[in-house]
Amino acid sequence: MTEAATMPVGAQAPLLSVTGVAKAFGETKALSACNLTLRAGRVHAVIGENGSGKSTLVKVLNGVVRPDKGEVLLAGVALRLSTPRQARQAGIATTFQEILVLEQLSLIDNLWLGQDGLFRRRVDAALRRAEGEAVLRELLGDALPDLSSRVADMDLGTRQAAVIARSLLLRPRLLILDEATAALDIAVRDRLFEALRRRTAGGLAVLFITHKMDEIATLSDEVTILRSGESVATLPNAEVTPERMLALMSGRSEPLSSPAAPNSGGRVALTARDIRVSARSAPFGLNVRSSEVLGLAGLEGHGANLFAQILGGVRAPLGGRIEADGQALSGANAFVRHGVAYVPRDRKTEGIFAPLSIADNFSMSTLQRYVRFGLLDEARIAARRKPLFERLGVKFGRLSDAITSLSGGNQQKVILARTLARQPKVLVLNDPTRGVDLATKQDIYSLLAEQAQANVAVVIHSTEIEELLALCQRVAIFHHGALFAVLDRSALSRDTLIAGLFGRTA
Amino acid sequence: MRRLVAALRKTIWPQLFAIAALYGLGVLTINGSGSWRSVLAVCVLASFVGIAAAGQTVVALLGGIDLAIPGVIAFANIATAQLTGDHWPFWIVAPGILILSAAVGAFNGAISKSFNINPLIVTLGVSAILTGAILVWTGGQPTGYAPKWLNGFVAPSGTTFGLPLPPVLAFWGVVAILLVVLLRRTVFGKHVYASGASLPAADLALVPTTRVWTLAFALSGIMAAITGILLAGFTTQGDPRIATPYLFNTIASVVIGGTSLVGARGGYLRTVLGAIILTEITTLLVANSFSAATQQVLLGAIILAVVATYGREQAVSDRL
Amino acid sequence: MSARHSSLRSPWRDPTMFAGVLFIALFAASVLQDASIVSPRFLTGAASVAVPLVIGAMAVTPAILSGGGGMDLSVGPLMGFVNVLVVTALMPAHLGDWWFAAPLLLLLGLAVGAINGWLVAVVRLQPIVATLGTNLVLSGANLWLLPTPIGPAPMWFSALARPHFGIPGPFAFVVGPALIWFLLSRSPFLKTLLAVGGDDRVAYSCGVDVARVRIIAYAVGGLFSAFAGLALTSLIQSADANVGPPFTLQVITAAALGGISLAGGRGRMWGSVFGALTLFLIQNLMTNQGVSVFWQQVVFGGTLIAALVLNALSGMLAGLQRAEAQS
Repeated sequence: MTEAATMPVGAQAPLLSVTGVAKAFGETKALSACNLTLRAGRVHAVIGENGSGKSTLVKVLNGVVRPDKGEVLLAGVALRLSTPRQARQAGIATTFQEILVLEQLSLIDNLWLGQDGLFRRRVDAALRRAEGEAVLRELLGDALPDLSSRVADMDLGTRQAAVIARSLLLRPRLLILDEATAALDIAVRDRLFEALRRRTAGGLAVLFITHKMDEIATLSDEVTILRSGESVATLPNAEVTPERMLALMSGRSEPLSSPAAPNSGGRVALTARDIRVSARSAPFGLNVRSSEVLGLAGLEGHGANLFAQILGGVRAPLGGRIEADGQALSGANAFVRHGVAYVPRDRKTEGIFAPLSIADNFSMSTLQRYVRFGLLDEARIAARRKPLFERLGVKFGRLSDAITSLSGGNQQKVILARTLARQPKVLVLNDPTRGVDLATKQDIYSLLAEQAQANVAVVIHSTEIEELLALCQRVAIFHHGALFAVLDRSALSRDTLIAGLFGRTA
Repeated sequence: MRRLVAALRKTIWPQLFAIAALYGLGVLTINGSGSWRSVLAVCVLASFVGIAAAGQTVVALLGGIDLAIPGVIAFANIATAQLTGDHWPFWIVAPGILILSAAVGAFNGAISKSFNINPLIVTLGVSAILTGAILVWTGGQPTGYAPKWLNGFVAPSGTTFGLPLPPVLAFWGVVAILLVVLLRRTVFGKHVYASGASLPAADLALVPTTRVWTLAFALSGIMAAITGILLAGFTTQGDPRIATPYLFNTIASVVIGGTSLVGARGGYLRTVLGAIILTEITTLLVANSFSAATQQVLLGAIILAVVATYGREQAVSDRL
Repeated sequence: MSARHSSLRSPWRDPTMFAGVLFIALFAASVLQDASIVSPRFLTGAASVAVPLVIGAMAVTPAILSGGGGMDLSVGPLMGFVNVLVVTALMPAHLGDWWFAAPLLLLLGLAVGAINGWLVAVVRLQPIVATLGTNLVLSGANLWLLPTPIGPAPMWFSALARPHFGIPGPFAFVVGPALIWFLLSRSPFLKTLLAVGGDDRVAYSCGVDVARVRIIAYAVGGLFSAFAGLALTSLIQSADANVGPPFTLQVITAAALGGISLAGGRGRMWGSVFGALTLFLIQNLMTNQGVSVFWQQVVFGGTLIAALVLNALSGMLAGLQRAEAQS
């Protein structure tokens, strides 16, 4: 691994040049025209909504996928990567969005993973420890865990710091950070930014993928905005304003139109009592009401996701219980019987049945209703499916096509149709518009508002501020595993929401 | 060209072509192999594998594999002969065997799913227990005989209600229809495909996955037991060794038919074709004096080749 | 945010230690039953029977550790293949001298293992299917080469079977695998293998050549199987195509008993050794108690299931602990 190239900061020739890169996965066009230029010693941010192609870009630059079209030049030389190993050898270090640690291994082994040859050790033990400790200290300050203890025992924030440290230890010339700050607390994040600034002064180029605008303002020299797989603009830091960014990201100049909001919620559908999401968090309580859209917000790892799963009945809380009609619900079946339906976050692994047809994907949760003389009756299935597909606007070729032939947005619509076929009383959605195009998002929003008006209790966990602002009558904000605040319509604004996410009151 | 091959894989044309080609090869190399009688003989042989492989098909659709099938076949085979020899009537013997075999299968499925252990290993262990239990029961010396009517049931020269169709073939036909309907048009069938496609998604979509696994393996036990009982008609007395080939020929039938061992792709019709192809190959090899050992080598190689086209796993990069 | 001290772990949490404790318990029971178990005569005689099983258990371990459903069902037939080749191919071709035969067979084992690895890592077949295929091919080949058992094996096999300096002959075959594994564990390879087995996506994203690591793991397994085959040959001093296959199930049982996680990425070679010895002691105890061979078969199957369930339970326990520790 070569030392960071001793290029003068802001030298004329760019270090990284991405031109016209396109990549499609089946029917889904993840990237269609991506253009980017990055110079040594600069921090270049990339921002975009869910599904804009950010992660695919990272995978292209890391050798995990190969682009269908376009060219990538590193220091003027064409870059054709087939494996992450080649990326590392080219001087590119990447920290992925998913925190990729090996729990059984020690912290120090995780830090140096991949740097040895197969049979020869390249860095001796003493140097490993010294450098590993030094980098971790840069990020975590003095709250250093024991380097030889297993990562399994460490919390998410430490793990994220570890994977960032792993990349820094490679002494790359290009560092790619994909949403790498989600689980870090403020102090660590600030230290990270300082560590990055020290290195960019020495010539390191940083590609910083994020969807948080405040980080862009503090850290980056310029921003590229991605929308639906295309780079729509690149702005220098001075020209960055939240409104302009939002407009470029979503192609709108106004915030999302709020669907007609019902009055304040109806009867209580679920009660969360003395819930503890994680071992160190304080217990809290919350009511879920019908005829209302309740938002669950929180930075990654702060408990919103886990609480969504608890409300949906797919995870047991560490303490406390969920009640419906005064009865404690225990076990997934109890939730189902009380009309609670959960839409999972990860469509690919928990949502769709990839090899099966669109028709089968729709009907799976409600099969018992279509049985006639012991066999499934296609007419009955169609009778339930048609109106739902029409309402949701599912665009498909033939019902017998595999569901993977649909775009991400349409796949999500099929999953929603499947869930709505159950006629749930409580609808818990975990990040439902992830990787979904804008038009589909609007369709989903209006559908959710409709459900609320039809007396359903809708709970939505979302990481997008605009989405929460547009949809919710109330937003519960989670911080460090506990309920920090509940903002109702009158108190809800971008400022209060963002402040709450960081544990501050605006 | 690539897309043509990929599209062809999704159909049953490759299998139909293989059946025709092997038939042609047989006509060329073996005397009298083209006659209706020899075709019937091949089909009768195929029916035993086909029925045993029915259970293997359902289990494969789940993404699992059942190596206890030979053990159950041996058990059913021995039990039929022993108990009939002890003058137990068939209408008690058969249901008893089926119930026990279903229980064994249910155990396999429940343990594999509940403890998240690869069913291959679980069924391997259960098979060992079964084989040992059989030895303990018979003391290594099986006795008894099969009910006489069973011989006629499985004979290639038999007739069904006056039609020149061996009863066992008609039986297989009925089994095939029932199984295809089960897999395509019942709730259970859809649940099997869902569980094989994605267990987490199935759990969230209200599929009772543990029950599905238990029932699927129980079904496999029943199918294997039926095969063992039928085989008693073929060989007259109980012999545990008759079950050994069924370890790999059920897997081979499923695989050659094009059902993926990864799960959720395929069905029983394919296995029927696969069983016929397999039996044609074996018949060809035997008639051309290939030893049992050579057959095993060739069939091992065929399994590898066919799975390499139908059942490759995802690359690491696709899972990132 | 204190890291839990994992240096002191009770046997219930560390599967390898549990395997060791189990072995000691069975050993104690065996000694109680028949004190002659610790005599040199026993060690050179009856205990030698354990050697092929021990090496076979070592052979199946790297494949399981490599993860991705890693398994090697071809260990038994490969052992048999080595055994059969000595008598059917090498001796008639006057290649039966130890300095030629042994390296050749070891190389062959390595090659077969590498083919398994290629099928798993490059062709991307499920390891169970891939090694089932090679199992069938090898079993068939064994029967084809040697339809009926035959003897004797070359002189040096029986020479090796005799004790040297008080150490029984077959144990010589353990030295090879033990040494090779020791060297591998001193190099980065073992940690990399455990990384690949633990989560191959993490390893891949860090630049590890996952395919190559897996191929090497299966190749090493094939090499160890060849060693086991040589030990087996020295034990039975003849060739028999039927003697290999039973080992397939036994070595998997041994590894599972030894705490090797079937999901990959966890376990130590010592565990497999203890597991194999435990299995041997169980068989020994049963034989001494006059338990019939038929019942022993039942017990073996039952032991495998019990070992698997215990293995799975300990894995679930570890998962629960992890969920608690994370806050």
